[in-house]
Amino acid sequence: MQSNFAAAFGVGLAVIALAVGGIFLNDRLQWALEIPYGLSILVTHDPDGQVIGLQSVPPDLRPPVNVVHLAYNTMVGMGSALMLLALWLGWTWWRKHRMPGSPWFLRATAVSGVAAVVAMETGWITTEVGRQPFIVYGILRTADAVSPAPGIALGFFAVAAIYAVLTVLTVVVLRRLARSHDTAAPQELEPVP
Amino acid sequence: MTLAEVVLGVMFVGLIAYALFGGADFGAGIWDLLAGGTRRGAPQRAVIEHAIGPVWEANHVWLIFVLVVLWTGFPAGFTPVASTLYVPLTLAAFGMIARGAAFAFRKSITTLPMRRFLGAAFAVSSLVTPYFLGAVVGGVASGRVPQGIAKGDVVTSWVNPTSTLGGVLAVLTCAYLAAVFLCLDALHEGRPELAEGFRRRALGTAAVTGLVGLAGLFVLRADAPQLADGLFGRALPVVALSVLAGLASIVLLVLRRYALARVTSSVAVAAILLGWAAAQYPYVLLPDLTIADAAAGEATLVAMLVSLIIGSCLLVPALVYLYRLFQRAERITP
Repeated sequence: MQSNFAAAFGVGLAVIALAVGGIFLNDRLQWALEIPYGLSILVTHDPDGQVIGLQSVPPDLRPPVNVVHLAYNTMVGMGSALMLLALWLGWTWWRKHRMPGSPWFLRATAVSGVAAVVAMETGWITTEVGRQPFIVYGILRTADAVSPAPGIALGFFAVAAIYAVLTVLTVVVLRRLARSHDTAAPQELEPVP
Repeated sequence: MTLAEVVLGVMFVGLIAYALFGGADFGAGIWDLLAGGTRRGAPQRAVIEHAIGPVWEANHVWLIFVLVVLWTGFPAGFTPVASTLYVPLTLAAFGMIARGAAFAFRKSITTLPMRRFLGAAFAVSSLVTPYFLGAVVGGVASGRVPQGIAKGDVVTSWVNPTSTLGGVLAVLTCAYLAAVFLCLDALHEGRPELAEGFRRRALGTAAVTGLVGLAGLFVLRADAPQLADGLFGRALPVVALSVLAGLASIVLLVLRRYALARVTSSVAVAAILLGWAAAQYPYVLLPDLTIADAAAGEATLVAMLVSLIIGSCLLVPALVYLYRLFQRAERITP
């Protein structure tokens, strides 16, 4: 899943470093931070573990490498940061029986909700884009799975437009709810007069 | 009865439940649309909102259930329907999205223009969604969905006489069911004058639905002969039951026996669907895709049936509890 050309550029199984960041350009990963043996440990739990290099996958069977690579990095980064945030709270609570005093803790907590959603979405991008060009890995290609019925593209644009409208409405409603504290949240039964 | 028939039968129970509960929900939205101006329609809209509020969109679980059983248990029947009829199915999905979203948003918006816009979105989508679902049934029932992926015409498969009949009947049935159900809701809320209004609407829609149904038989004779033969053949007792239950409902409405009218109306609607199934039997897709041909392998069907049984042990008590809670909540209301 990771684009690894660092430790073992060759074809076939190899011990591979974990690449963090960087862009896949001209058939190689550039400007990436490399953690030696990283991917081998991650995939096989063994620093000498063998991982299939991207080079050994025929180019027409490769997913869009940069999208998957950066989405995966983002997901793992966000997940790790959230875990550290929880550990920070846990540690302070255990040692001092109080919340961490630093304002940075509160700032991090405030963005942690968004971060969790971003981690989830980039996780989806990793699995869905990472599986391309297959929809059922190794069995059915996405291009062969799409319905041959005419006009499917129009349906896609309509769905996109409707969800755009819904997103705008949701933001409007949430902002209104945040402003007026007396408005009941949706789906709640109104008190009987 | 084969294993495939048992699984399809369970799916059909889900379809009937969707037609009754979801149908009454859509119908309530249609009456919301026809309730009149902002001020004049307000009391009616309040009863409607109160009646469907607690259950809200929970009834769509039945539709999800039907779709999942079809695509898992009967892929060869599901695939042609989903691909050929994707336009009305997508439009129905848009209707459900707009309906649910507008209903939820309307409660948290206080400005009148915005409330009007959302109310209109809720009501209009309540009208068009059952039409598209009925049109899908019409396309299947008139044999316009050939086997294979997207082999049928994506337009004429749902723009045709039988689909139009199916769509109109679906809308009328929803409106009728909702009017009957709302009679009792209005009474429980201590609004007998509103109950009278819903009673008039129920009687009116019953008459129109009956007439359209009669006229529809001629449409089916011309446009869907295979289905018409089944309706007058094997399915005749079920069709007769539907007519009898419909007539009984009218008598009960005239007598203001609203609780019993709910039961007979539900029987009438369920019998229409059963009549369609009996008329098509043993075909999933007319003219020639049988249940056995459409069914998945035995392992899939067995797994499906086992999980259906386990799932219904969890779902049915929860749903019964939900419906009971909301009926009781109404009774407490002065």
